[in-house]
This record gives sequence, C-alpha cells and structure tokens, in this order.
Amino acid sequence: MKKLSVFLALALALTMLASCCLAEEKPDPFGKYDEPVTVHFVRSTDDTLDANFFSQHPDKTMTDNLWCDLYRDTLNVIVDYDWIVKGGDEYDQKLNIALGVGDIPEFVNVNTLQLKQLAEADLIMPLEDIYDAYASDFTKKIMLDTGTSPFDAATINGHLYGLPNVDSTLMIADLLWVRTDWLEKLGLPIPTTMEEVLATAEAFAKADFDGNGVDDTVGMAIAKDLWGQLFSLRGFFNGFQSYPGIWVEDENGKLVYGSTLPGTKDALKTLHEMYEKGLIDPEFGVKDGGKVAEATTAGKCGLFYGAQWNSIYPLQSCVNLDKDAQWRAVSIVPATDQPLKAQTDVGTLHWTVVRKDVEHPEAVVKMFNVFIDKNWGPNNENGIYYAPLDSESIWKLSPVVPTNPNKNNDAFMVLEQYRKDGDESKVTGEAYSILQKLKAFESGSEDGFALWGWERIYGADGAYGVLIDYQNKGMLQDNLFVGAPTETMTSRMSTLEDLQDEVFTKIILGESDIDAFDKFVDDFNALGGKDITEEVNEWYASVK
Amino acid sequence: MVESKHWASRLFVVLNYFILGFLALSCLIPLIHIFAISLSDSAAATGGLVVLWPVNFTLESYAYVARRAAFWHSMLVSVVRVLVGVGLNMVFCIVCAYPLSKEKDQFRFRTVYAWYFFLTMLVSGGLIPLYMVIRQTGLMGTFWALVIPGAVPVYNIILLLNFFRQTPRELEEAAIIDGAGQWRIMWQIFVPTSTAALATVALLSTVYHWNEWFNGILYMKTPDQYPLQSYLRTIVIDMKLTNMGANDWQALALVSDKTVKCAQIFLASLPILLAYPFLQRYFVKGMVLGSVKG
Repeated sequence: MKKLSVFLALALALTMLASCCLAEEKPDPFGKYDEPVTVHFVRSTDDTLDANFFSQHPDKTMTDNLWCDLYRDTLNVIVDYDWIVKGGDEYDQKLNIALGVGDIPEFVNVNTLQLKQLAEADLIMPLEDIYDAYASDFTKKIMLDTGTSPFDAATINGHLYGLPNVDSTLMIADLLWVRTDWLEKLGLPIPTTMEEVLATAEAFAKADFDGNGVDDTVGMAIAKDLWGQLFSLRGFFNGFQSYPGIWVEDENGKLVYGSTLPGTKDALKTLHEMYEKGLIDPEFGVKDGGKVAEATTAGKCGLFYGAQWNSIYPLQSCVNLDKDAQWRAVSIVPATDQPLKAQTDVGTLHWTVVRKDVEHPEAVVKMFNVFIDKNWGPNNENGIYYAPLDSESIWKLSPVVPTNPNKNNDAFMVLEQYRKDGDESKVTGEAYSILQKLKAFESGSEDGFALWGWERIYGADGAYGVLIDYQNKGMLQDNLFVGAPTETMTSRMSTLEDLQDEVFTKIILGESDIDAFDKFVDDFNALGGKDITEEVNEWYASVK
Repeated sequence: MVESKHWASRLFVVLNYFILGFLALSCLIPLIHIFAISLSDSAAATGGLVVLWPVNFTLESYAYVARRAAFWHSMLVSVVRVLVGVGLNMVFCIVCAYPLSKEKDQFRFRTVYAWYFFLTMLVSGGLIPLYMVIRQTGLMGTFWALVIPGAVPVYNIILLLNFFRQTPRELEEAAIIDGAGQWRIMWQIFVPTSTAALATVALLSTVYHWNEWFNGILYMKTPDQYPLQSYLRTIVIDMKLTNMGANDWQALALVSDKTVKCAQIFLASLPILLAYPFLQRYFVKGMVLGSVKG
C-alpha cells in the first residue's frame, strides 16, 4: 500500500513536472529552432521552373534558393531532397515504387490514395494535434477557405494524416469560350441559352470564315477525354442539371453519382443531334486535347467549354496566327428552367504526410505558416516570393505549396477596383504583376500582344469576372464526396469511368441508341456503383 | 513464254520498288515532318499548318535549344552512357559468348551455364525487386545505375554465341598448334573474324542505351542527371487534361511550344542516325572466307 502511494506521488510529481515544462514551451507557429533541423522531402519539378527561374539564375539550385534561405533564416529549417523527379506522372510512378519497397521519405506530398495506403500500413503519423498547436491563425483561416473538404479527404478514423496543399476549387469550373469576331461577322448575340448555343454552333459550322470553300469548321469542339479542363463537356452537361464525375445530393439528401442523373440522358441526346447535324467532329473520339487545340488555333472552331486559363493555352496561338481573332469566356448556359450550376471539384491534389519516426514533425506546419504568411499575410512579400514579374514560378521552389484559394479572385477584385478609381497604390502583390501584364498588352506592342491571354482572364470582360459571378450568384455545384477513396472506389471506379466514357462516346456518335444510357446506369450499379454509392453515403452521414 | 516471264519479272521489280519505297517513305516522312516543324513559326506549328515544308521559316527554336543547358547536359550524359554502357556490354558479351560457344568436350558444363543465362530472359525479378537491388547496392542516384543493371545483355550473348560457333574449328586448332592460349584465340582469332556480328551487337546496345528512358527517371536523384531520352520524355509527353492541378496549365502552355519540342527531338535522333553509316562498313561479310582452305 505504501509502495503504491509513493509510486502515485512520484507519478503525480512527474506529471506536474512534465506539464509545467510543456506549459513553458508554448508552441510558437514561427518559432526558430536553436539547432538546425534538416527536413528531407522528395519532389517533382517542371519546365516552368527551368524556364522562368533556373535559366535566369544558373547559380541557384533546388536546395539553394530564396525559399530555402527563408526557411533557414526564419525557422532554422534546412530543406533537403532525397530525390527530385521531373514531371507529375513520373513523380507518381517513382513515388509508388519507392513506397512499394518501403523507401518512405520523411516528408512527402502524396495523393489521397497513397495517403490512405500509408495510413493503413501505419507508416505515417496523425497530425491533428501538431496542426492545432502549431498552425498560425492565419494559416488555419486560409486552409479552410474552400471549406473542410481538403481536411476531410485526409481524415481516416478520425485522425488527420496529411496537411492539404490547398488550392482553388473555383478555378476549374467550366466556362463557354466563344469567338466573338465570328459572332460579329454573322450578327449573332452572345449565346445565353442552350438553344442559342446550338444555333451558334450551327452557324459557325456552316460558315466558311477562311473562305477556302471547304466545309472544315466544327460547331463545338470536344476532345476524347470528355471531362478535361479544355474542350470539356462538363459545362454542357451542367446546363442539363447533370454533373458527370462528381457526387451530388438527390431530392432525399442522399449522394448520387452525377453521371447517372436523368439530365445526362438529355445532354447525350442533344449531343447526338448535334453530331447528326455535323456540328461535332466525327473523329473526336480519337483526338486528344493537343490535336483539337491545333484545329482551334488554325481557326476551325469557335465554340467550346473549358477552364479560365484556356486563353493562354491554346487560344493565344490562335490570335497570334490570326490577329483579327477574338475570344471571350462567358457563362455556361441553361437548357432547362431549373437553376443553372457549374460543377467544381476539390482543387487540392496533394497532402503533405510525415513519416512515423520523424523527430520534428511540427517543422512542416511551421513551413506552411511561413509560406502562407510570406505570400498572403498582412505583411506579405508576394512580389518577391510568389510571382515576381521576371520569374513567375518562384513559389514552386518551396517544398510545400498551400495556395490561398481566393488569391486570383482577390487579384481580379483589386483590378476591378483599379479600373473604377484608377488608384494604383492599392494594387499590390500578384495583382500588381497582373496589372503590368495588362498594361503591356494595352500598349499595343508586339511583346505585349503575347499577353493577350492574360487580358482575356483578368481584363474588364475577363474570364475571372464570370467565375466570380458564379460564386456570387450561388451557381456552383461542389463535389459533395471529398473523403479518401472508399474501398470499392479504389478497386472499381476507374473501370466504371472507362465504361461511362465509352458508352457516352458511342451514344454521341450514334453507334448506340440513346437507351444505352439506361443500360449504363444499370451496369454502373451492378458493377460496383451500388456499393460505392452506399460507402459514399456512409461517409456523408458521418461528416454531416 | 519468254514474254510472260519478262512481264512477271517487270511486275516484280515495280512492286518491289513500290513496297520498299513506301516503307522507306513511311520511315522518312515523320522525320521530315518533325524537321519542318522545328524550322517553322510557333503559331503555324501549333495550328497544325506545317506538313513537310517549313511555314514562316525561322531558326528561333534551334537558337532557344542552343541556350538550353539542360538539353546539352543530358545529351552529354547520354553520350557517356553509350560509351561506357556499350563498352561494358561488348566486353561482357564477348567473354560470356566465347566459352559458351565451345563444344561439350572443351567446356563440360557449357549447357548448365547456357541455361543459367537463358533463364534470365524468360523470368525477371520485376520492377520492385530490381529497384531494391539498385538501392541496396548503393547504385541509386549514381551514373552506374544506368549501365550496370543492363551490363550483361543475354540476347546479344546468344547472337554472338551462335556466330562464334560458325567459325571453323580448324582455325582454333591451328592457333593451338601455334601455341596460342584461349585468351589469345578469343581476342586475336574470334573477335577479328566476327566484326559483322560484333557490329550488330554494338548497334543493338547503342540503340538500347540511347533510347532507354525509364531507368533515368527511376534511379537518378535529380533531373540534371537524366540522360537525353528521360529528359525528352518530360517535354513531349501529353499532359492529361482530366487530372490537372489548378496551376498545371502554366506547364502546359510552356510545353506546348511544338517547334522547340521538335527541334529537340530532331537533334536527339541525329547521333543515332549518324551511327548507322559508320557501323555499316563492318557489316561486310566474308571475313572468314579464305581463311580455311580445304
């Protein structure tokens, strides 16, 4: 008995000692380590870094540059890389093999599937406590700007296993890109309904703008991967209240797969009619985005659905080739009298995970703090660290890149304000860089003309205005399933997606009857879609 | 009768020219197409207006590539890889093929060894075990990871082995009588009389080392260690439009510069094109002819 009480007293004393020490070491989000802490990452790189940064700074390397200097000077954190690979697909390939042989880097950016596998294999550590303790208030705010979905996707059994490198969800919503110089030539208005879109497509297809006497213009361009960010069909389907590839609520509040909604059938039917009328390239099923981009550049197409950046690629080449060409992004159009919504998806593609035995896991949270604070905080130096005019990709030098999801909206709003009051002093950070581009374009110089694509995004009737309009009018349909991929999803979803694309393509081309869609819905459910739907709803109920 | 034979042989010749010409063109046209694009204006190339003749001729893309250090650096890596890799291949190939080409009475366990090599052609460890071997032998991230794993090309050994066996045994016997040992016979009799086969084998392994790209991506630590084809792979691959990040378009806009792409592809294929004529002269057969009278 006595022994026990001594033991208890001792235990109590130890606990108090420990808690007092912990209280002393209050986590400081920007605290500098006394001893240098080396963090080992792996990463991918790309041409933009080579072209925009390393070519101008040949003495700099991936581990010796202003971002690494910043982490060293502010946190005493030394960034090192176990390996660097060029290209996103190559990164995934190599990482999968490295993870397969148990070669887990200390800190690594992974996708949800890799995160799930690592968490289930108990190789990475839960981060929720560290994140709560060390993330600055501003970091916490920015990270939640697109809702909790980036965190939900990395939460398994109640533990957060990865820090989301958050990114915008809005930026991937579809817009309708139209060649306005053709509209003017034909005296047509900017299409605002599906009927007008069809009429415009028909008029474009029939017209012979290049006067070569050959009927070689398509009405509306689509590419074989159907749901890309360029020559997409998402915006078209959205007009019919169909949301391919994402999960949405049905009238009972249950999640359903957007491709199986009844509106999909109407959209496919309309597309087939367009095909019959010769408004769609009969070879679209074998043409990838690059091929269709060639045709668009050559002036064979004046209408398609795609993302806001399409003016920079590929439309810039189109106007380079034909100086009279002009494009504009407008809102997607409704085909019914139901409310119109443009679909989006989780913009976050990578989560930073930490190997189980790492001594200073909080270092990565501090890096998140520094990255976000330097780029978008109250005393930001965005013009130096994020996108200075002479080296736009400089932010990619940081191993972690949580992006302020609203940064482009904010920049656009700042520019709008500037267009109203002409007060340049308020235009700072990224907005300033963009303003310089707009001015260069307006100067009419040849170099400036290369920035036409930027003007189409951030100019007065630019693409961003339409996106912000979507947001303000509540016209966005988010993907409501944002968890880690479920079990059946992991094993079946890619097969089901292939099936979907095949059936849809065949229906458009008239190789299958429109009733093939009903069969597709049955097949989808029979081949795993039903189980996936159940799993997804289970998840949905758990986060509600 | 003579008439019809004449007619048939003429048809044969015409068809021959037609088919061979078609084959030759189908090899040549893509190359000319790429060359034409590389000499064209960027916008014209992106618009798909270039076929076989440059549109708005410009050397801009070559000027750009000339300034691109990464391209020349990986070209250098590839050249060194070919020199070292092919050198190793040839040495291992010869020293393996020579004993295996002997008859059983000269080399008793010949069959066992031959099967030992042959088995590796049928079954391989696969990607993950190979990666583990590379990692645990400390080759990861070094240049040697590009040449050592493929240093013993079994297919080439079998090619060479069969060629060695056709060398008349009398030559070897004559050499033995003159007092030559096996090393001397191998290097001074077999190798010089097998230049045609050796040239074939050298060409095969040159092409392998020049074109192989996956090992570069998998085993190198940083992109500046990439051989040329791994580097090219990162610039020519089509980006998937469906799973792009919000900022990936920047890379797409940059990579889409078709003229620069084509200039690099053309420059990359030049050395291997030039290698053919130089190896061609070794394909002269008949070296053995006249060495044995009987």
